[in-house]
Amino acid sequence: MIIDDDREIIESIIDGDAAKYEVIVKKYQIRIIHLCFKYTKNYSDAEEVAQEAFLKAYRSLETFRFDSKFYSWLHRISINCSLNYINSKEKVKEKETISENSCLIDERRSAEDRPDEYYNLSELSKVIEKTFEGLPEELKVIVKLREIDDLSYDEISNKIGIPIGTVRSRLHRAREILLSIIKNE
Amino acid sequence: MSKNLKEIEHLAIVKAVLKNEYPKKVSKNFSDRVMAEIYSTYNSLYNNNIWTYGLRIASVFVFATITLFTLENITTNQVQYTKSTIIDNISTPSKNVSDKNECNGVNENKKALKDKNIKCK
Repeated sequence: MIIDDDREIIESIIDGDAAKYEVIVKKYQIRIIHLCFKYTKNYSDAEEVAQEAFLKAYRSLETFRFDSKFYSWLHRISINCSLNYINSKEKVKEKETISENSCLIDERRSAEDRPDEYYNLSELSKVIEKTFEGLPEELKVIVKLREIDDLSYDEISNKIGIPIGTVRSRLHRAREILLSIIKNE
Repeated sequence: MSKNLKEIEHLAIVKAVLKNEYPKKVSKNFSDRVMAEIYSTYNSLYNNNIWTYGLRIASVFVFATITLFTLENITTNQVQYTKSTIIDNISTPSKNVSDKNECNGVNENKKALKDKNIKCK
């Protein structure tokens, strides 16, 4: 079962089920880390900033009013965290000597050079894109509308002119195919 | 739950790739680190909700009681009721007052009038 309804999840987190926050983290981690990477230009720092953004969002969850998509709210928080990171890094740069910096870089490299602890997305993306292109046209359209354009089931149903049940079943089939690639990787 | 979470994670990868919003690599244990931090630091943030709700309700009751008590004391007159009939005897003494000057004037007028009449006669 794939949970699409963030509101339901967020309400249960606020009601005390903190474990549900893992769903939110897993759902958005890749895109948030990517966003932070645009600012930090460093994978290790991007994850650090993304972690801070997720923690900040968790702390402020009660203030989220559901008047926008949760991802948009999280996106905004992540940008603020990234900007704070840049400002703080500039301050640190002024204080640190070159030799200290080189030690830090070496430390990070040793952590990043463990491939089993990372999803190699540059490799994985090639396989996913290839599989997506190979999907039957009827499935590809649904995946595009749902995953890329973020349309709801109702909107997809109206746009293509097929029953909502058919939208669900086609999307389920497409997801099964796409997810099987990652499971096998 | 863990199978479901794995599926959500994999679907997020697919979505990120299709949207072209992915870094070259991402730690597999990223979410574990976030959750560990949440459990160690913020566990009590939303966990004590029953206690919080109870406290809120109790404080509302206390506030309402204090408000009612205050309003009752301010707005009600301090009237004391009794079963027996209260007879209020007005004991203020009354005085007969006379304005002597005024009377003198009147008397003088009367006298002048009398003299006038006698003169006429």
